[in-house]
Amino acid sequence: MDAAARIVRAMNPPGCDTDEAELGRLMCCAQEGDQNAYALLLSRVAVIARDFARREMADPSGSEDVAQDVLITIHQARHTYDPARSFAAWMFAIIRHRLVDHMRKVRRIRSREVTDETVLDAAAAQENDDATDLLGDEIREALARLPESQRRVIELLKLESLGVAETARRLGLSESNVKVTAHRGYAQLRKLLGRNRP
Amino acid sequence: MNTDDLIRKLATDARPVRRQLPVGVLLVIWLATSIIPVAGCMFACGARPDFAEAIRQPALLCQLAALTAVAILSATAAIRLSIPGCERSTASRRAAAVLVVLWIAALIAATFGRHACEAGPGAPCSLDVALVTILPCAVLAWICRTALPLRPAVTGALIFAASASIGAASSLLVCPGNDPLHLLTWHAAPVLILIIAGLAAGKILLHKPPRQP
Repeated sequence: MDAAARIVRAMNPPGCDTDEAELGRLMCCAQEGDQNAYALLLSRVAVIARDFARREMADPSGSEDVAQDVLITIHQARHTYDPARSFAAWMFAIIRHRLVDHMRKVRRIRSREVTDETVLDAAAAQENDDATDLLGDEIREALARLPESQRRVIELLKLESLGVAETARRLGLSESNVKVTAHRGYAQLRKLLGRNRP
Repeated sequence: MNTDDLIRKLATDARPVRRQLPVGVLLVIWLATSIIPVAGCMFACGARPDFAEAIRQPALLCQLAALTAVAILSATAAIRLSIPGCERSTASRRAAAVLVVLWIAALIAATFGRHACEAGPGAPCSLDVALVTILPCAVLAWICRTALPLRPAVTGALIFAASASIGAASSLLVCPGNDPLHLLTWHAAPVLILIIAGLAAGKILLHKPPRQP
């Protein structure tokens, strides 16, 4: 059994005996259009990807993002899997590259943005007060033009008056991710609303 | 979107897919399409006047062999790099790089070894290299992009290396120039420039970020 296959076996959820051959079989069924097999395969892969990301990253809060990127990539590339080759090698090539991409993205963001939570909390509090003062229709129109991730965060924080923790739980994100997304969303709203004013 | 919802969405979107063709088959398809511009170049420009004699010269044969090897090794590496987990070692890439370096080093050494070298006019040679590169480059880029190039910049460089080598080999068959400085300036330099351009082009054209269906 090669190293990748050993890792697959070690990363199985408790009580699950899925090994590499089984994952390969599920992938073959998925390539033929079997949606149940595909859903089962993706659940297993998500666990493996998340655990791998948690072990490799200094800040494991992004492991869910990495797992989702891996699943989407597997969906895009499922036609490239060849049953004659190792499924584990195929899967881990995707996991490793998406992890590296994620870590590069985080590094880029950190080099350009403030992530000190006290500063973000103060900015978000000020922005929340500012946002309340704006006209209802105009802000809803601008909200609709935001990217979906920013719009959902602002809707949950402002329209449904959820806290950061609850918003993070609902969206499956980390709290710092919610704050950064809200901060960007408010900045984009200010730009959009600033353009609409004479 | 949380992960469970994503899995449901992806599973609902699962349709039967046609598996990627094996690497060997893709390579043969690419080689077959690469012959078209080479033949076109020879038809348009005509073979070099001293073709029968030149083809027996070791220097030309070695260059043609090296360039053909670079083309095949680079194309194989590019295709393998586009299939996750397919590239088990970097031997193909390294061998191609070594051959390119050896070719250029040999030309540089030959330049210094001669008393008088002239680059001479050679823009048409560079144009031949560039024009012949187009079709093999487009076909190989399409092959790689339909897979999943996880290292787009390196894959781009390999695609351009493979295609430019075909172009350089083709130009050797039509250009009567044997002067090493001419070959270095008008045949080898365009290959190097195209490989560097391939790094940038690959990053832009072959980058496939994860996108939800």
